[in-house]
Amino acid sequence: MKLQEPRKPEEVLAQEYTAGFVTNIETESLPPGLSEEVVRKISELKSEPEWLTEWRVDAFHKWLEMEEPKWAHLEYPAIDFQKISYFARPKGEPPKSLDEVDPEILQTYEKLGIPLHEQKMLAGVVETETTPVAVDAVFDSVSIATTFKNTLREHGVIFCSFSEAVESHPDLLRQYLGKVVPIRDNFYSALNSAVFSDGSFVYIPKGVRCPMELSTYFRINAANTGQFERTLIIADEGSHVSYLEGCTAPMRDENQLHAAVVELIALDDAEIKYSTVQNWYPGDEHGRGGIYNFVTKRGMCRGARSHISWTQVETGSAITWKYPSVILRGDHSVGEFYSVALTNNHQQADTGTKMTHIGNNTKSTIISKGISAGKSSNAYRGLVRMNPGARNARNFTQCDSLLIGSECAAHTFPYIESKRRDSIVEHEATATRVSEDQMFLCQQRGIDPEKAVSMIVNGFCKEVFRTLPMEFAMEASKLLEVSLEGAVG
Amino acid sequence: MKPREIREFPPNIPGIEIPRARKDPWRYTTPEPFINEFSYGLSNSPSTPVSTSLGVEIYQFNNPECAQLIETYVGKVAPRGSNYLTALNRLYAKHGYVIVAKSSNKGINHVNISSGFDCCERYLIIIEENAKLSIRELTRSGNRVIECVLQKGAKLEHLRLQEETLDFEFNHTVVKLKERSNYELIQASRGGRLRRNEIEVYIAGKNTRVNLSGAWGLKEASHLDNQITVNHLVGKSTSETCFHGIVHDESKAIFNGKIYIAPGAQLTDASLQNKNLATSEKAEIYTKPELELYADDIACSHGATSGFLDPKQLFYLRSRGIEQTEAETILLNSFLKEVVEDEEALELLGLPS
Repeated sequence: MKLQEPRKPEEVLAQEYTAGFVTNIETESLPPGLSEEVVRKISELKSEPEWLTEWRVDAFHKWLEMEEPKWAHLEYPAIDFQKISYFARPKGEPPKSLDEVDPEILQTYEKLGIPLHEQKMLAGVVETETTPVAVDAVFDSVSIATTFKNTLREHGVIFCSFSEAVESHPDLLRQYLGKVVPIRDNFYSALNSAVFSDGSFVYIPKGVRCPMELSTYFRINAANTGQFERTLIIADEGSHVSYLEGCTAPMRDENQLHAAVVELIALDDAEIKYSTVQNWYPGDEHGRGGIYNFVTKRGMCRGARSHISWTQVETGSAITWKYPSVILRGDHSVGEFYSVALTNNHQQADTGTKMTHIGNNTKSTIISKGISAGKSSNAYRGLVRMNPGARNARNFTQCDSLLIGSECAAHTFPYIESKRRDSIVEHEATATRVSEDQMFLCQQRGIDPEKAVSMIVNGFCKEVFRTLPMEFAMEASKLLEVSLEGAVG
Repeated sequence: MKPREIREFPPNIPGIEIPRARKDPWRYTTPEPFINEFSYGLSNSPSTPVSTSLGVEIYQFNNPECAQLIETYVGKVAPRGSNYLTALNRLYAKHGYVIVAKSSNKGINHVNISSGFDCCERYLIIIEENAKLSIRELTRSGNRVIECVLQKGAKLEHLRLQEETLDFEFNHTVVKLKERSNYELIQASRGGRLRRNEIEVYIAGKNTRVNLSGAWGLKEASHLDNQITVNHLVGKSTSETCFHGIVHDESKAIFNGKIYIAPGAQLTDASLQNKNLATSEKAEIYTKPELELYADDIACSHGATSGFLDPKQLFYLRSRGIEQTEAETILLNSFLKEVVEDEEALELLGLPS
């Protein structure tokens, strides 16, 4: 019998993107370009109240004065903001119920494995043994459907599209919108505040433990558009919610912009767990196309003993610029950040977190695992700040990089700022590669190279996957396998 | 070296931006005092290198004998950087010395550089093949750029002692290592009104070894900024960087360490560590250990901590009858002694050896 030559990890990684199909439906979109009129038009199309229109216009003017951030370790051609269409939605009257939704769109979600039929799920038609997940499906600039609304309503939970929240819960919105991520926070948050189209709104009332996982699935379909969604989650005193976010886009040769803003607010004793599996189209193996993912995510632990946890699995996007952060204002509040970022081919990621300790006895944990393969570049950028008032604050950071192939790059930029004597900050990082020894050991035991790499990578990411909800963990580890296909040796 | 005529200040240097505060790499230290409050035009007392070793030659920059060396190396040891203060040094340096350690002397050569005041000066240090040099450098204030070239098999032991000062000090040290050479730095720093040390190491040959270690104890409102970059340009080299610091009173310590591993620099072994202790409510610590890696077959790690004295350790000592202040001193001293063992360095830091 001829022995198989042991293969290198990089030989086994050739990306196959399964969510890259286009849904053929008629779309109506605004012509490309950005001006005050466009901002007003978006607001008009969504029949928004005047306060929101003015808020958008104000954001637009602030955006005009701001400069694009250049500090990230990323290289990409300048974005022409006038060539992007800022609003696109499926043609026709907006659907009032799931039955009215264009079957093509429903099929799209089915193909992506996102169940939108409550009855089917409840009747056990969809094979799932776990608890159902309520989904808000956002297609281009609009929310198509939100499932399980009634079940949730019985518990007092509000889960709806942002547009609906503008109509039905304006008070809550006005109270919290832009409070965690102010308009001026950064260039992309200002842009998002001016042109945001849809997104999800969640409110968990006092003392309620949300009965099921909430989830939003973002899909960019139309060409030459950007997606600018906004998510706002408010967990009132003593409540608990676990929220999932997924995203995909078709394969196209041009780059598309996705600039979202996510704001989380946790009051006394509340807990928010926010998980993302980001699988935007990453571009082809020559670095053509792909999504520019410029996202601002921030949570505010406003109340005492509140808890916010971010878990992200980043495998997609040509460029990722994303720093889910937590402001730990309440005493004894806890912030967590678990991240796996995988880049392959020509992908570039500059991602990490910011933990700002303001309250006493606040705690934060950061676990970041970066995997770079091919010719990609993967950077962790983090900031841990201990403010003078943060008595007994504590942080632990671990960020590890795994390199697969000799042409990829891995970087770490951790900023630590301590202005408090009795606070403790610990940071550690390592960088290694999938070694020939590890591969040899696996192959010698009859495990093929692809499996071996995915095993090693999964082991490397175990700490993060453990924090994901079950179904998501499986999806994530499968996603890693797909993304790593062809990178091994 | 003749100072060039000063027309405008701060001068516009093509291709190099005037640094701005709150932006990397000047995020936590204001660059203005180094530019505006420092008297570049005036000639103050320079530092003086002294050596009694046989294998050491010391020249002033204007000595025609070393014109060739100056032509070859000055401003060229590092790839052209964009450091504005270094560029200012180039324009205004009034004093300059070339130190050559000859391979003719097989033993260790010694050079003692004693501190000057407020002087804008420059050093070029060449260590010839297989030569060994030990430098003891005492610094107090000024703008000083040191360029070192370690030829094949050369060895440089660099002890830098930084005294307490009420002045500004900017040190930029660039070290380039060829094959089999070895660079060791021990830096002990007290506070300054504003003190910044930039240390750049370029590893350009295989089988090289770099050890950078340092300790600081800052008091009152002093400010110390260490910017350290270790560039592994070729593979098969080892670097170890370890800095420990204590901040008392209202002092501020900044540490920015970076390991860069160039594409193809395989089999590199690099580590970077920075630990900080604060003893006062108003002290501030800023640390950023960076990695920038472009090769995969490497072992690379970094760590940074900031904290205070472990109450358990204090309790242990107290329970053995040691008074609070003494127990604290023991722990603080041992924290610095973990990295610095040199007697003079310990003395400067006020530690019993």
